[in-house]
Amino acid sequence: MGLHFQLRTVLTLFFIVVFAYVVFEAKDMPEQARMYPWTIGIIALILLSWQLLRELFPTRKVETRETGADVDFTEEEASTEGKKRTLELFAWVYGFGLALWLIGFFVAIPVMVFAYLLRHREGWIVTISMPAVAGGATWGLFNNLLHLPFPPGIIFEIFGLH
Amino acid sequence: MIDAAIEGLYGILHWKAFALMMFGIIISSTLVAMPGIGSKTAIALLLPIAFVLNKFEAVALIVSIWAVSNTANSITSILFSVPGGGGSQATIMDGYPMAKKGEAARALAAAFTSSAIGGIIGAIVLLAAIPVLRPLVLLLGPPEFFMLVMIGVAMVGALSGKAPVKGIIVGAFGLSISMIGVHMLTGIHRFTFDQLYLVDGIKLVPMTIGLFAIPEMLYMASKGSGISDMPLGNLSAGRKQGIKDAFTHWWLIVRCSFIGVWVGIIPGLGSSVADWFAYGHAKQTCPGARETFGTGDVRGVIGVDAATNAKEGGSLIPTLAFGIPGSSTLALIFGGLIIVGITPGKDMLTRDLNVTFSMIWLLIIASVLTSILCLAFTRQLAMATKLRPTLMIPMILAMAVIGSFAASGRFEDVLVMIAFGTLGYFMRAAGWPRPPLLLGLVLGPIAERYMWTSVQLYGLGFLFRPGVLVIFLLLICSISYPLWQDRYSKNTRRNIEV
Repeated sequence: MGLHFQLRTVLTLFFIVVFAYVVFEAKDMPEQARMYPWTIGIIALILLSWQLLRELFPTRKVETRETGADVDFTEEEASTEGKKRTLELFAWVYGFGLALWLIGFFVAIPVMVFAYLLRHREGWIVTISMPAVAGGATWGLFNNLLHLPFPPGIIFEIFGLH
Repeated sequence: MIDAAIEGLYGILHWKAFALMMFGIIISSTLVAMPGIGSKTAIALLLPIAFVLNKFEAVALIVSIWAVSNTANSITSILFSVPGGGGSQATIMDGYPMAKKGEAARALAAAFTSSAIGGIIGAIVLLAAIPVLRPLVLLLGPPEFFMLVMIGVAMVGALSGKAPVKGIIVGAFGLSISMIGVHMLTGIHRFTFDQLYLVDGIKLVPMTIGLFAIPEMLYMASKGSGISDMPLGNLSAGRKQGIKDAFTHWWLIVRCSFIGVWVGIIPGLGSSVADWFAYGHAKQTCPGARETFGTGDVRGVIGVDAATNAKEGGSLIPTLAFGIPGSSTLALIFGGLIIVGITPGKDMLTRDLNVTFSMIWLLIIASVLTSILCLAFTRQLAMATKLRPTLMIPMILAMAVIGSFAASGRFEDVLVMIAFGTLGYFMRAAGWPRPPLLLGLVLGPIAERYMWTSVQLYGLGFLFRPGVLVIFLLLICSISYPLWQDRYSKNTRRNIEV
C-alpha cells in the first residue's frame, strides 16, 4: 500500500487549508461567534483527514474515479481536445472579466460576443446581429428598465469619458 | 385555510404573475431541452429579475422554471437517446426504441400527458400534507430545527453523489462560506479579510451562477458540437394515441406518482433516483412488461415521466414545512424566496400560507400548461437541441455576468462568479458534488441561529433531548436506506441494460 498522490488530491488539500483557517481564525472570536465555526470546522477536518488518507493510500475497493451527482465529468471533457477547448473557454471567461473592468459592461459585452462568434467563424449575419442584441439588452433592459448601475470601466473613468 | 387558498390562486392568476409564469415555462422548457443547461442555471440567471417583483410574481417566475423542468427533458431522451437531465435517463429505455419504430410522437405525447398528471398528483399530496404538518411544525423548538437543518445538509451531501464523505465536506464548506460577513449576535466581522464587499457575505446568485453555469458552459465548449444532427421525422402522427395511452394506464401513473412523491420528500434523492424506481416498479408490476420493456413499451415512458414530475410536489414538503430544501435547485428557490421577503419554514404554514397555496396552484397550472406547450411545439423545442454551442456560449456568458452583477450592483460579484466557476469546474473534475455547497450557504445562518438559541436554552444537553435523538435516528435511517435503495436501483438498471 504505497503513497498514491493524484492531481485531485490538491482539491482535498485546498479544503483542508480552508477549514484549518476557519478553526484558527475563530480562536480569538467571542464565544457566540466562535462556537459555530469550530463545530463545523473540526468535523470537516476530521472527515477531510479520512478523505486524504483514502486518496493517498487507496485500497482496491475504492474507486479511483468517483463522481458526484451533478453531470458526470465526460470522456470528451477528459480528452486532450476537450481540455484544450476548456482551457480556451477559461481564457475567454477571465479575459471577459478583465474587459468588463477595463472598458465596462456596455462595450465589453457586445465586443466579447462579436469576438467569440468571429473566432468560431459564424456567418456574418449572426456575428453582427447577436452582439447588437446583447448590447441592446444590456442597455435597454438592464440599464434603463431595471436600473442596474453598470460601472463605466476603468479606462473610461481615467479619461473622463463616462 | 380556504381564504389562503383563494388568495394564492388570485395571486397567481393576476395578469403579471401569469405572464411571468408563462415566461418561466417557455424559458425552462427551451433551456432544459438542451442537455448541459439545467433548471438551476435558468433560475440563477433569471433570479435578479425577481428582485423587483412582488412575492406572487417572484414565486410565479422562479417556481414555474423549476416545476416544469422535468417535462421537456423527455424530448432529447426520446428523440436522440440523450438524457436531457437527471430524471430522463430511464425514459430512454422505451422512449428511444419507440422513436426508432416511428412512434416518437406517441411516446412524447404519452410522456407529456403523464408528466402533467404526475405534477397534479404531486401538488395534491402537498396540499393534503399541510393540515398534518401545521401542528407538527409548531411543536418543534430550536434544538429540533437545528437538527433538521443538519439533516438537510448531511443528507443532500451524503446522497448527492457516489462519495458521501465528499458530499458532507462540501456541505460544511457551504456552511463555512455562510459565516463570512457580520456576525448577527456579536456584530464582529468574520473572515472578511478587511474587504468591504465581504462584510455583507458572499451572495447566493453570483456563487450559483459561477458554480453551475460556468462549468456547464465549459462542458458545452469541450463537446464542440450540438447534440444531434439527426432528422426529427414526423412528430405529429400518433399524438392522440399517446395521450390516450396515458389515460388508459392511469393506475400506473398514480402508483408511479406516489413513488415520485416519496423520493421527493427525502432530501438528497433526485429525479435520477425517482425515474429508475418508477421504471423498476412498472417493469415488475405491469403484465407482460418483462418481455416488452426495453423494446418500446409505452408504459415504460408513462411511469417514469409521472414519477419525475410528481417528485417536485413531494420535495416542497420538507422545504416549506421545515425550511430544508431537498436539493440545490430548491436551495436556490429558497434563497430567491428570502430575497423577496418570504422565509421558508414555519411561516409558510402560518403567516405566508397564501404563498404556499400559490405554489400548489402553480404546480397544477404549470404542469398542465407545459404539457400542452410541449405537445404543441415539440418540433420547435426539439430544434433547440440543434443550436450550436458557439452561439449559446457567448450569450450565456453575457447573461451570467449581468445576473451576477445584479445581485448587489458591485463588480466584485462578477469576480465571485468567476472564482466559483473555476472551483466548480475543478470540483466536477475531481468528483466533488456541487449541490451541497449551495445548500450549506443557504442554510448556514439559520443553522447557526438555532444552534446558539439551543445552547442558550439547554446548554449542550440540547443534543440529548428526545426530539433531537429521534431526528438523529431518522437521519441515520434516512441516509442508509436510500443508499441501499440507490444500490438496488443501480442493480435494476444494470439488469435492465443487460
